[in-house]
Amino acid sequence: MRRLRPTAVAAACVALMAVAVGCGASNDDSNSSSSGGGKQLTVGFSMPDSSESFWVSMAYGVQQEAKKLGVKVVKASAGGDANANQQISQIQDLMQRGVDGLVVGATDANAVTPVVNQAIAQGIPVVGASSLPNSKKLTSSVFTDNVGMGTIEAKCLGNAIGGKGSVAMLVGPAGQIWADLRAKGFKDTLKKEFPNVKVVASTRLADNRNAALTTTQNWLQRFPALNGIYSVTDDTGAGAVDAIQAAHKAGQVKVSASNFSPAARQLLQKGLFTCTAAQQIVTQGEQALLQAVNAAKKQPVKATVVTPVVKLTKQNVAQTNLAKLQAPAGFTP
Amino acid sequence: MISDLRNTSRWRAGQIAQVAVAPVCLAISLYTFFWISPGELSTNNLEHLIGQMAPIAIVAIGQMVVIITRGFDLSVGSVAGLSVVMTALGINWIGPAGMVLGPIAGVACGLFNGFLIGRLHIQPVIATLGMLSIARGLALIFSGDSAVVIDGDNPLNFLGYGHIAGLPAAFVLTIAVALVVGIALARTRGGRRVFMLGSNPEAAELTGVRPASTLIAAYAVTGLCVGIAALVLVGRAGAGLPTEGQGLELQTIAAAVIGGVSLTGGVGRPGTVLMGALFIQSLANGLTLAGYSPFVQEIILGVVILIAGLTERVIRRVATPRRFKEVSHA
Amino acid sequence: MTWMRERLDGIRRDMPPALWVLVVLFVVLWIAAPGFGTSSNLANVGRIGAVLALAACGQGIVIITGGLDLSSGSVVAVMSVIAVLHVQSGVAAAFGLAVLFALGVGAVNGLLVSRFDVPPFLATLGMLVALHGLAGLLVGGIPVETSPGGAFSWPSNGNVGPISAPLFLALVGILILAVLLRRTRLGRVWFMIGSNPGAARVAGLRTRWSLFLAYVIAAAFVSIAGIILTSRVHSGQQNLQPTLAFEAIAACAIGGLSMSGGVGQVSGIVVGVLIVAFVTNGLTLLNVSSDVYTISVGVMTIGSVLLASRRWYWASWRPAAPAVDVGEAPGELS
Repeated sequence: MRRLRPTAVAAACVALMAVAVGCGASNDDSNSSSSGGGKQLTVGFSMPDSSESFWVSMAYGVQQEAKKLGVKVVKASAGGDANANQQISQIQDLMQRGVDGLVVGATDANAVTPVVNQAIAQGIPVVGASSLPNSKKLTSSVFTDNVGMGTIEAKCLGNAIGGKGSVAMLVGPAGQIWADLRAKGFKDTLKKEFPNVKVVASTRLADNRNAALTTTQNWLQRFPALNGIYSVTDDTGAGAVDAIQAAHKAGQVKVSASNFSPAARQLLQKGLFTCTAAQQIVTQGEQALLQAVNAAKKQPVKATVVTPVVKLTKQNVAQTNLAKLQAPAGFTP
Repeated sequence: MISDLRNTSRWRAGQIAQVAVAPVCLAISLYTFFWISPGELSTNNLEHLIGQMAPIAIVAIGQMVVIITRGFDLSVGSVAGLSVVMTALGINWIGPAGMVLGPIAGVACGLFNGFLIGRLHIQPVIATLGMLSIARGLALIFSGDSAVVIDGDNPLNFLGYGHIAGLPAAFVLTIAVALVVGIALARTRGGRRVFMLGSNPEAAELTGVRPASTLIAAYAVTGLCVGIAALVLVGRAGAGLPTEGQGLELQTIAAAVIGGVSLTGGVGRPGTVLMGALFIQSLANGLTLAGYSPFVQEIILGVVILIAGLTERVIRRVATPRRFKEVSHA
Repeated sequence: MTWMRERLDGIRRDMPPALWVLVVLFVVLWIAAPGFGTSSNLANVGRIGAVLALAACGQGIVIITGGLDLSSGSVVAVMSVIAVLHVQSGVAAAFGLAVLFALGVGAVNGLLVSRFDVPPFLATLGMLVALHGLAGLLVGGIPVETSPGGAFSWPSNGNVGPISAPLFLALVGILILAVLLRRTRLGRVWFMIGSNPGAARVAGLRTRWSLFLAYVIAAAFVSIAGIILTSRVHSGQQNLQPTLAFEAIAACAIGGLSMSGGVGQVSGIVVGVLIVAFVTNGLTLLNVSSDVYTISVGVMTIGSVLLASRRWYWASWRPAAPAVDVGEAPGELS
């Protein structure tokens, strides 16, 4: 009987909680405040991973626009591209907090759709940012052409290797639609415009720099005549470059990448990337917040905003205005 | 002699203290978030929280069962990935009844783990580490590397977002699982065998407990819990993501440990494990919405795990009367 | 003829059982995997495997004492951040600080396990999570860069005579571990702590101090691995190699170390590391898809441990005693 006491304590706690919750469940509006008059608007920004340079730049754009409009932003990071369940919880919490609008960069487009639809049903406008939820009722979609980025990589890599040879692909994390779209763009363009270039190897496992390095080293053993490597981000591309340099094949194997972080800038300037396909991430962030605020204020909203894709090479990186492509160095969301 | 040990007030105090770790942590975290962002802790938020913790809580209950046997299961995250994929595939192939494929996959993986550990005597670390890779690979293969979306209406949507008597359906399911497992452990012969195996394997074997079948059953229960959690996950996401569950193993072990389950085996209570899970969930959500970076969250979680480990030992030490103090294991 | 049998028995007993697995694996890959047998590929495997070897050495020490060290993945991550952030003060200073940090973590681990009796799994798990967060905090989540070349890149790209620097460092580490385990008192105490901690303490050995040292020395091995990794990517990364600890555990298990402690030899660790290194190298050379790769790694891990486990493999011979270097450790008597 004495052994039951700790269990009884625990059970009592749980029961108390259940009762408290059960009673409280009826007053729904106790916390959600509607935006009245001159009250400051609050927009929630739910992103997959605040430790990726891509989302850092996006957060920068959101923050800058919020400052301009005098709007408060509450950020939530799911802690990883695969943490869909966590993101669902975070979106629920943002809704609970009574935000006036939501900007969502989805971990998985399908997984967040049910909760996004609920938010919309509750009257909270939801704007998709780059990684779009699959909801048909999205207030606005702000994105870039990921397929186009893959196409850019295909064109510059194909040209750089002279239109024939073999390439390997660092495709990126499984289950991420942006990675899939870029790969699709790459492969389709190769088929159409560079039929003599063959993809001899492809992996979805090497999604950090060290792993990309190891995989590339092994590829160089397997395919001594390899001509090029496609990388889905500049971080993985940097790993490939390291491996190529260690094997002293910098002239023979070309590397193309997407995204533009400080690492990419260095590598472009040294000519170790043939090109990187960059998107105006900051602009997307700004536009996403703007559309969300417009929707909250019941002002006209643009249903789709597509930001252009930019091809950056050693030649043009100095002249290109990078302010809209990436957050300034040292910025932390 | 043992009754001598248990009758001391020190022992009882130690028992209660051990149970107290989780509620104390929970109270601190909830209070902190209420203090940081007033209005944060309405009953509505609590309602959300107890629904959101369901996947972690249910798997943590399963994790508790095998930790009691002095093992642990590092594969639960990957098995969750496999289970959600199978659940979604099952629903798409057969209709709502197909959702059992998820729990079936979970149990299958659990049985395999148990076989490796119980029959082939591979250490739990290695067996479940291997299963971690195998299950993830299978999940990716069966799903074709992308999420398996449920065609049409999601029969599990109720589990993800619905309510029963004002409480989130997922929470009710969690309580049900905790009750069933708790009662099975405390009142059935099989449950007692699990405890015996954990606290003293040699003695257990001498009294006729067959370690192989008990271990296989224990890991199968864990697999079943993962499969049930998969139902909740599919309920929320409306799809089976093959990448689901990354990091789940560490989260659930942490929840169990904070909840007073001892890694040296033989001890475990579902009630406090639930609180540990709720604590971890509240950490993740509360800190994020209060504006702390996810990195700070991780640091805090790591420190809490250390504190839980420290407290458990200190409590053990303090609660054991002098004449029973054993030479402690390194 | 019995003398021959006894001789063979002796040799067989000293060799790690996984050696046969390694030999078969090597032959199979030589035949089946294109490019496997080339000297450049093997040199590659040496470079890549060196990191795992050092981490496995450290892990092996901890496993022999009956514990586990899960924190290595995050330790090397923080090391890389520290090193890159301090590169202005000179390469030696940068690496030195990083090594100091790793040793500090080892000391904390050791303190928690030896003085406060925290289960090693828990202590190092807490460290794994907390340090991962610390790495992110220090660097804001985005990798910090430094330019490759010069002294910074030597640990990964340099050479010592005919062999690569990483391989050289690994060989030195393996030698040091062998000496530690076989010839020092400290090593013997580690084995005893692992097989029968109670008896060790009652026998008057300084178990607390030896256990503490175990974690610190293990951290020293991991720190060298961290230096090589940092040098390779010349960048401070939160996710440098998050699975390092688990790979090291797998290598040790394949190499015949018992997870409950008290058993193990350096040759076993080496064999385990080589098997893991060859499997991952071979799978990439065989160009299998990512999904098949993932499954194969799991199957290989379990399979190797099974094949190497003495239980059914040696069933035809009389059960060989586990190769403990302690002479007669107390736990042997059953």
